[in-house]
Amino acid sequence: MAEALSNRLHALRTERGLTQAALAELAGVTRKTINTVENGVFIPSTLLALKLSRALGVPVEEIFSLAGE
Amino acid sequence: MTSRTDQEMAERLSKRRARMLPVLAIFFLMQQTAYFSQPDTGRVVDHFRVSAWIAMSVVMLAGLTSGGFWLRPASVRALLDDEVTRAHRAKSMEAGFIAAMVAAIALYFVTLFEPVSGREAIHLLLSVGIACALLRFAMLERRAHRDG
Repeated sequence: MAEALSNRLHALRTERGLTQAALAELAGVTRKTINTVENGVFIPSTLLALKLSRALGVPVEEIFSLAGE
Repeated sequence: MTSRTDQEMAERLSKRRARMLPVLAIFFLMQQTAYFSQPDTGRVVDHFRVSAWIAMSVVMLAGLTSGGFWLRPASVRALLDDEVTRAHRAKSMEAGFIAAMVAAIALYFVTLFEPVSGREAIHLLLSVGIACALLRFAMLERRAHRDG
């Protein structure tokens, strides 16, 4: 079973020209949350993953994937 | 979507909390050092000292479990108590619990050689648990604020 989660949050955010604070505002979370998810320090809940996916306008699978896949 | 003002205020307060907590934890521990270097002798001043410690412990515990900033708007408090903060709190409570258990084991061995009163034991365990939880929470929060 894979235990690590990869994410493309930083890439997707910068592609859209968003700062961490701007994405945080769109998703209704704090900049700290965006920062920790981007750095892989924090693995988000399904709820937060869906909020981020909605804020970026992409499916969850495009942001997160199991490491090594 | 949340308002920019709420976001900015939550960001500022969250950073302030991360900066303040280690200072508070160290101040709290120093206060206890003074207590243990001059043990309770039943004087009136000792009652005030113990009352101050209990009041400070309750405030710190309440702040740690609820996130604090009770006078701020609910929307800001919700942001200050987001998913990452709750995860940090759970980790810090775990650290506080483990520290209190280790202190209890150490205390058990101390009592084999020197008598320790129930009040002193409670004082020590509570102080160690709270201070460790505060320090761990502050450390995690500070790391979370650091840019990638």
